[in-house]
Amino acid sequence: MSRVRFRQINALRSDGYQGGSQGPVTSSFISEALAQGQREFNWEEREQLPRDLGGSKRRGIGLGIGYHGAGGRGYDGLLRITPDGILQIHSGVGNLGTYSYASNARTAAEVMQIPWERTEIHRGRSDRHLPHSSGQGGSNTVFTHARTNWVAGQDLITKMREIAAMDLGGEPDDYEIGGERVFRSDDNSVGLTYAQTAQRAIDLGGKYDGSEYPDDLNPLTQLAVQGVQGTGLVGAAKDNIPGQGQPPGNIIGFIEIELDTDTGKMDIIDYTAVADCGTVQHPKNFDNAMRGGAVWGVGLSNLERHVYDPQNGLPANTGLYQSKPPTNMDVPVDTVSQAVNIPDPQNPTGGRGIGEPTQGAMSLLLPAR
Amino acid sequence: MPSHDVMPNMELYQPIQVEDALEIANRYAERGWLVGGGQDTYGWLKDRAKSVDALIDLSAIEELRGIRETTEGVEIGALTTLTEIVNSDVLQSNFSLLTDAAAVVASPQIRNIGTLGGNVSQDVRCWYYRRGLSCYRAGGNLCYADTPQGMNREHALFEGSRCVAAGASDTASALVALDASMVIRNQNGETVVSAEDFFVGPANDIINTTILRPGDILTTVRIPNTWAGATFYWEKVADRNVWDFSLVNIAAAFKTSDGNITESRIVAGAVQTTPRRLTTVENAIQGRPKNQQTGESVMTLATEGARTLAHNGFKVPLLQNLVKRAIST
Repeated sequence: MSRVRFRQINALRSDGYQGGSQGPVTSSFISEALAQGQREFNWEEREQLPRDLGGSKRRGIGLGIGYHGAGGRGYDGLLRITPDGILQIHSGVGNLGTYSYASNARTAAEVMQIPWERTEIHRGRSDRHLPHSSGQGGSNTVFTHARTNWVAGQDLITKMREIAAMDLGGEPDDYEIGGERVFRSDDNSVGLTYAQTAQRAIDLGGKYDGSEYPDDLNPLTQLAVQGVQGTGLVGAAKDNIPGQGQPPGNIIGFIEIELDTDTGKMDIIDYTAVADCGTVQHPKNFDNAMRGGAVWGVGLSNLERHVYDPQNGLPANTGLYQSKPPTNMDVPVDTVSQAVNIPDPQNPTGGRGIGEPTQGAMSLLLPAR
Repeated sequence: MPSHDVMPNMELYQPIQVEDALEIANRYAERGWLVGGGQDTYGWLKDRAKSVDALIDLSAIEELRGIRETTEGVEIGALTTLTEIVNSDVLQSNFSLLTDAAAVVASPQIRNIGTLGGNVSQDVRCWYYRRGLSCYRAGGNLCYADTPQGMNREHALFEGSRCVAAGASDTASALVALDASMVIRNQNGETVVSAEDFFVGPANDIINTTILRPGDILTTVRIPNTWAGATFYWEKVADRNVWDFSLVNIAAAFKTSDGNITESRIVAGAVQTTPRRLTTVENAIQGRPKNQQTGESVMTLATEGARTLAHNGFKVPLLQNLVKRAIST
């Protein structure tokens, strides 16, 4: 049986279970990723090529699968429309350098159908009134905070419709949004701008301007809502989107190496990775994560040295050069990064994270043969 | 182990003439520290693993820079950067063994500022020693690396004597193979020693890796025409392809006649504190064809007498294979 087929049979599927507790997953398309990667990498053709390259050089190909739990649920979203019509997006997500707080904030802009230039992100300090958010560990925030921004956006839309029905007649369900307005579905000339709804929310108070808020919000989010009270139309909600299971971040990788049996040195000739991370939220960030994680995986599995002297309990890495993280001379110039791009059914925007598993896939590849 | 962002307090001298540098070096003796490119120096000082009263910065002494052709060969100022050596037409033409070795020292950034003098004079990279432990080499009374549980993957196969640290210089192997000599000045005058005698192992000196003593300045490296245009082989094996020290390196020079080896120099680096000239191998291949069969037949001679430690056994086949390749290629 081919190594690809063996993994397809055993890989985690959407109806499968994962982890020590053997819990369900939101969805999983590793088999599809393997098929896509096999085509892109020309696996079958490469497997037929000779392994002995002459002299001390040997050729090897390998594949690996990386998995990591990639998201949570139950956190809070907090959005505002201020009287200038700007969408204020509050995020407690940290920044490891991936700027995922910003890419996830785009969900709010998308839900509110407002240009990105008409938004402002508030982050980084609790005095900027930030909701209860997940930590940023690598793959966590795409699933988690697309959902929180989505539910907060839905709360804003609901309140906008209510204000429009109050002021312009009819029922809230008679209204929809678009073009930074809330308007009647049967007559789009009847409506309010976002800026007008924000001013009306301040006038109305109560749940509209943040004077009241849902009891199920985390105490940290409640403090944040109190901080923005009276500044516009406030949307605050806990992620109560139905569903269960762990959203998995999955990746498969195919590699070709040349090994010098005289020296033990290995050159990576080619690397193709395909992620199963739902709908790609931010193509450039996705590409960065895929390539950066692969480089990191090369280091963790083949180069980096975290040496401790067991007799004296001393760490050997007293300088960066002794830790030996990979350099640009230790990895291929070009690698292939793709995604299966099948939406996850439990995220309204379809995404799952892909951070840590990018390293794991590369590590598993190194016993290439 | 503390790490510091700033340099410790010390005097700084920046002489522009060798004579002034010699006077300052003599005055401060062991409390002074000569610095060229600083790539070995600053780690020691910033980590507070070593301290001095005065830093004597030689980098403004133009006399110590440059590559000059002479009737006997080539003279290289000790402050010549490794990049300048790599880019030298005369060295590339006649002594590519040295340019090949210099080209894989550390990283481009370090080669741009690191000097030949500094590269050959640098201290060993045993991590126990570099972190400031009181080992034999640091004046203490034990070796942390040479124990059953010592983490000694990078350490020496040969000539261990209380200390088992391996030499860190790539250019040192090449210079020994090229029969280079080192010009050393102090206030008493000038001394010229062969590169082979310039480097010192722990059996003779447990503290220093060269014969340089306080007050001495390495001013020039001379490469005679003896091996100009010979057949050279250089290979460095390190974990990473850039910014790494050799696990083992090999520098070889061959003169041949009708395909047979008439004379050779084969020098291994990073297998003991000093460059190790493999005279047994050199003698064994004298008069034999320079080919794979010869290489394979003598490769094990390269490691006769090796004493492996807990984690450096891989260096034995690695050194053998590099010797084989040097002769075969």
